Amino acid sequence: MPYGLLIALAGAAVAAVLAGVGSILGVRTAAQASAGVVAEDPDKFGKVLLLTALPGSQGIYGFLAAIIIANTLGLLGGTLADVSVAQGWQVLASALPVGITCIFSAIQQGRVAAAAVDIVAKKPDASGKGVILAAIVETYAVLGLLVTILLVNGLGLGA
Amino acid sequence: MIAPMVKVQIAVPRRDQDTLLRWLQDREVLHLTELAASTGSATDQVVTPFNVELAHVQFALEFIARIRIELHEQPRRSWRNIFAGRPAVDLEALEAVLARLNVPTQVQTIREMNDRLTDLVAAKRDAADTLAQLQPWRELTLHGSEMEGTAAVRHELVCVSVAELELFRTAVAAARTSAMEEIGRVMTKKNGTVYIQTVVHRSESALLDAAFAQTQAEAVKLPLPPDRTVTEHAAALEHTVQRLETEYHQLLEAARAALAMEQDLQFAYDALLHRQERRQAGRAGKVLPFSFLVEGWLPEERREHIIAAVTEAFPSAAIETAPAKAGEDPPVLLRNSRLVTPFEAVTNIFGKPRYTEIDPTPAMSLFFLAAFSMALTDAGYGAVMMVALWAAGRFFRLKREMRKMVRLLFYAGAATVVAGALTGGWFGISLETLPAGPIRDALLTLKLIDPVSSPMSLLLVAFALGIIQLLAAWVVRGYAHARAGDWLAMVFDDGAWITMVVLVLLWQASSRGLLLSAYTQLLAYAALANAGILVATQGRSYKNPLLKLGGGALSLYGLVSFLSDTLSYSRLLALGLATGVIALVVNLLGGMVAVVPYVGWILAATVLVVGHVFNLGINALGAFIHSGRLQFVEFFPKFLEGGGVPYRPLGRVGKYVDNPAEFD
Repeated sequence: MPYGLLIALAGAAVAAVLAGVGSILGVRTAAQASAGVVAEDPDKFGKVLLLTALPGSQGIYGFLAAIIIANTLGLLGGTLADVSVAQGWQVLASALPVGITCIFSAIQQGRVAAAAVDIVAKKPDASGKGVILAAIVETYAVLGLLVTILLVNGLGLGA
Repeated sequence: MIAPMVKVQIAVPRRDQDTLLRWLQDREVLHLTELAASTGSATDQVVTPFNVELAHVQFALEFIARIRIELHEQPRRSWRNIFAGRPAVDLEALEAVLARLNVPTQVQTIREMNDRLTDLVAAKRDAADTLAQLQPWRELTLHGSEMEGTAAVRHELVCVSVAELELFRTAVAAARTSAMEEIGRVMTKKNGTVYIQTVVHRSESALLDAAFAQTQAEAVKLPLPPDRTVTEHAAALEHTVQRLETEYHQLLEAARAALAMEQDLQFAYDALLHRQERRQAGRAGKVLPFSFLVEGWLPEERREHIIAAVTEAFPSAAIETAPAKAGEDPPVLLRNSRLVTPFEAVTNIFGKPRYTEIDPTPAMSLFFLAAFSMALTDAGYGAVMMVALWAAGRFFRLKREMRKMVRLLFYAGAATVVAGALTGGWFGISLETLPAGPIRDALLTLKLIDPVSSPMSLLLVAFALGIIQLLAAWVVRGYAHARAGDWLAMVFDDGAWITMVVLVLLWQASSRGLLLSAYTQLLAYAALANAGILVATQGRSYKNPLLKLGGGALSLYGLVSFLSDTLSYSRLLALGLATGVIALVVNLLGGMVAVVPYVGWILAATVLVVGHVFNLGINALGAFIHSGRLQFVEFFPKFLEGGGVPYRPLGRVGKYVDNPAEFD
């Protein structure tokens, strides 16, 4: 049933695109703040790079979810799964948790990371604390990814 | 553990003040405390002679850095020093350089070079500006002296936009005696400028003024000497620019000699910086008519050694020590066994515990490793980490703090090898696809859980880790309560909660027939009884009996917090799966490019190396951060308040030079 497959693919796309967009915006915010610090003191590049990269992980989670869905559908080798329209919708619904949590958490994590860049500027010794603060925002993206993985796995399409 | 501290007072004759402070600074042992009514005149605090001198040396160093860039002379750094590039020199050697170097003379020499270079640059810029201004007027054949017109004739040079040229021409033509000649034209994309000379009889001067008023045309005065035409002057200026350029480069070459002074100046800078630190430290001490007194904290284990050393170096010194009194807040230094020390790097990110609290490092270390390894779950990556970090520790010069981190990550790599082997993660390769043989059999035997096909089992393992660590937090808190002699809190706040959670878990397991299925009811009653004890005791801090009961009942909400804390450990599964699946994708991509004729294997090798290194980097970072977070948010707050003052002995914070003591 080609429509089923199409809807399932839309699920994979939603996961990758929403999370990717979130990461783009989040990394942008953090990178702008980082550029300001590096302009003053290029030696701090290593520390601010870490903070800038943090909101990038959501994009990877979305990518990961898309790959897992593609794999379940048999697109990465093996036989193509026979997906009914209902199953297609199920896959799409399963992709929503990772997509939605990632887009918001990446944008907001970008803001926290940008604020944490200030810590690097003023108190470089305490920059580890800034990383942890930013990571707390990421928790919900990780949970979203977990839910998506468990849901896709639970659908048992590949089996 | 948290190192016990003793308070030390050292008094020396006043003349030994700086020698004592220098001695302390070089050894980095004494965490100074502010002595009441410390002296130091007000003028002392604003500008010290060191401030001025520091600014001068800083200027010289900035000049050298600029020259270095212009001469393309970047300092070479050996690969051994990638992570710790500064030279390590002791304080005495720095002072020796400062004494040998005549700072004012050196700075003066550099200042003169700088002034001459700046002047040359300014002169070059002036000449270039004038040249640019003359450029459109090259065709003008008049001398500078002829620009003013005559008694009867007014002469003007005019810039007007192409768009307004006709308007201006018509307006000027209103004067019968006018004449106009276009000298040049510079076109841009949208518009252009026309350069014109015009003459008019002075009796009709007002008409020319009207033409200027009607348009945006501007009269121009050229910077031209009276005896030269534009072409002549431009040629002279070009010659000047060339001469200045040559002069600049000659001067730059001469300045190359200054590069050799760089290290000496850097040493001098740091020596001055350390003098300033000592002056500030001196202010924390007390200057008495004949003696100088400092007070500070010292780890108790070093007391005998330091007292002996001070007495030897300063025979006339008087030393007194006293243990920390109640109400005092000594600084916190973590002291652990060789195996646990690297984990202090994790604790330090959170901050120091209070002096009276427990050092969480030993209790946290194994949980951190377990969480990290679960979040990475690839034995191949773990092995790569171990090799890379062993090499880093072996071949690079690393500061003590950096070395701690390297060793910590080495342990984390080792733990990841174990976790990876148990979950069958080897660079994302599916073990079933390996050629049959003893290796494959061995790896398959080691593999207990397949995270991709049965994520639920791994999720349970993550929860189990969470439950064990959260129970351990209560055990640690109980230990802290017992140490403080608060037995009531240990039994009812810590012990009762542990039994509560264990009973609830057993009851749940039993009701599902997993274990002790014959005792379900008994366990349920036991759990209820335990809950009763909690309700009865948890509100005991309230005076009002109703509040006592209410507070106790409310405390059962702790079970919900326990549950949500446990759920937080599910991140380990998600992170672990992320590593495995991305590794799988990298291998897949490698396989796709491998079929390209001739260069396929090169492409595949590149994809595999870059992909796996990227995956390892990004996921090791994630594993570190999230394992850290589990300690900071879920584990520490159960028994730790934090906010202790870190032990920061009077020492050296150099800008260009490291203390050799930081490398042992």
